[in-house]
Amino acid sequence: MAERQADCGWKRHISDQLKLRDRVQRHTFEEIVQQYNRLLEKSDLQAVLTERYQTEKYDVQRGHEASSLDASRSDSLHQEMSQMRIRHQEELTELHKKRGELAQTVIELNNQIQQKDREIQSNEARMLEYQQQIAGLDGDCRDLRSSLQVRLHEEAHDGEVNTVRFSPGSRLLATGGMDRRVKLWEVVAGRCEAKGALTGSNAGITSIDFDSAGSYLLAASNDFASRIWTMDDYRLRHTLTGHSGKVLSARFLLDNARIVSGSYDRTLKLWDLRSKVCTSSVTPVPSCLLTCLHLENARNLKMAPLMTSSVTLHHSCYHSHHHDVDSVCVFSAQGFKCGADWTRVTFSPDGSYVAGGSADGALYVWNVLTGKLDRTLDRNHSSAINCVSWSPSGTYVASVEKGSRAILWSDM
Amino acid sequence: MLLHRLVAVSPMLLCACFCLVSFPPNLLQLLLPRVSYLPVVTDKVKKHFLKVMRPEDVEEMWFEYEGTPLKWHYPIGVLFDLHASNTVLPWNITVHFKNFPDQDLLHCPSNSIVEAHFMSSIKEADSLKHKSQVVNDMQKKDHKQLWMGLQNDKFDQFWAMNRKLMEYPTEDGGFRYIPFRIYQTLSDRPFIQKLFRPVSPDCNAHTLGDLLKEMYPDALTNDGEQKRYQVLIHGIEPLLETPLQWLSEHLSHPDNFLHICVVPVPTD
Repeated sequence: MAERQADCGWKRHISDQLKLRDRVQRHTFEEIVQQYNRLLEKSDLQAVLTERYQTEKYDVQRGHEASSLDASRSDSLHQEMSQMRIRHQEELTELHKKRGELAQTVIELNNQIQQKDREIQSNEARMLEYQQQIAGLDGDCRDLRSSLQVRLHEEAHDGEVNTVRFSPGSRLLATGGMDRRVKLWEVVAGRCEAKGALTGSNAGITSIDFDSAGSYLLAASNDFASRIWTMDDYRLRHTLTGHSGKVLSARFLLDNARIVSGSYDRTLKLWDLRSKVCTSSVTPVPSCLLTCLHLENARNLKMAPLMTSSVTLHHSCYHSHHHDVDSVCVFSAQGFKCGADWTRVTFSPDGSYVAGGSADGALYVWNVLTGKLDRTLDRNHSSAINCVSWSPSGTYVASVEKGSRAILWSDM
Repeated sequence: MLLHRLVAVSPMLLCACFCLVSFPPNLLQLLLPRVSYLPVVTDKVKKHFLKVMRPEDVEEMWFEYEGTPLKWHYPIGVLFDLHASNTVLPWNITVHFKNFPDQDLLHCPSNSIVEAHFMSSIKEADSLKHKSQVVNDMQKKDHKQLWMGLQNDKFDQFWAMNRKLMEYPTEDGGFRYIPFRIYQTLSDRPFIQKLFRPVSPDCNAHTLGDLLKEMYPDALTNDGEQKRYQVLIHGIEPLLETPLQWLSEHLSHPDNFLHICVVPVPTD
């Protein structure tokens, strides 16, 4: 126990001594030292600031003058200083004002930006809508096009294909070209299969016609003659000569016993099939070239595509050697141009549409009642379309072009 | 641990009034920690005086008190106790920037020299205490932590490592030898340092009195005589019966040495 007490004794002594030491040596001076150091820092700072101020505002000269303790000098010094102070105050207020204005401008600009952002957003939304619409329409287009089937026949002929005609039964397609041949094709399930060729012409074929039964084929040719073949055996039966120019077009009349042919020599000749002679010859239109004959009922409706960009429907009545030519209506379309003098157009079987091929290889279809362009089928022909034929069944349209290609369009 | 804090953390006040030899008087007042070294804590001094001096006048900085150059490798507390323990505070010391006294002082161009000296003291102390086992087991970063704790005045950082140096196996009852140095004012010898065990062969703990009787018997007052000397550790006089082992553990300086100053009792 004594040892414990002794222990505590010297320990306590040490701790007391330390506390005393600290009190004497530290606490009494701590405060003073801190304050002193703070003052020192402040005076240092003061010295730095005044030095900077002096070098900026006054030169060394000025400093020397100030130290000369002249009363008047110190007065003027005061005045200058107060003037400078005033000027600085003014500048300060100016700057404050300007800052306010700039802040205002900033706010306005921000508003404008927000507005523009909103507009952009709405525009984008609309664009999105339109794009969706376009996508939809594209889809529709593609559907339509795929439904519109096309059957190509490259090299239908060696050389230009001038004319094409469906047989009355819509099963046969006849094409004629500069290779002096009439090629026959069978149309089966949307395809064309070559069936045969009719020879005998000495020059390019300009026009083909079937009789109403489909048993005879009439072809007009550049060798100034028209020929007739039988369809059962593809044999040439008759040759009708007499024109003094290229025969541009020949047609059976409704009774299948007579043929009318138009020629480059500006005559229309009427032939009788039984006697195989020309019964009459007319010169109907002095100036225009007969390029196409289309018979409807008892009247002759000639459609003469003039060398312009429109198709003129002529109404003419053929009886007893005279005729009237009236223009019934004009079909035109942008881009439609006749490829040649003998470019043909055709009515649809129900008479409600007119189809014509143009120089740029596009097939134009007009609505007869409205007179407006119904469809444009392009991108299949590579050169000017020479002739168009609508099948009597109405499902197919055949078009032929200069570049010896024949195209069968289905689902018309 | 409470005592630890009292000793290690509380700085002693040194108010230094520096007079430049050839410049108008310039004063700086500082509180310096007892346990640190002069070059470490006097950066501010250098900066302050460099502002007013010409660069060509500045060489190595050194301090002196009443004509005696102050050895920077002694802890500041030791310097104070030795030179000015009984003088009136503040302690005025003079800073010089020229005429470095090569015979009396060691050069100290940078803090890394101080660090090297500090670490070598620690290693020497540990070689006495533990045959250098503990300090050699420490990693380089631990040594660095000791120095940084001292330099930046971070008590906890320092003692986290120093704790290890203060441990001893319980069967021994203490360290192998006690690391101590006894400084005297009136002798040419720098200090007394000898081997001394903390525990006597018959297992009694040695006291401060035992140490002095062995090493510096003049410091002790015999019965009947007037007290001639003060025995100062950290500026206080512990009782002579204080156990030496305890003193070494708790009142050592950060360099793990027990620095004891013996100064004459003031006569006035």
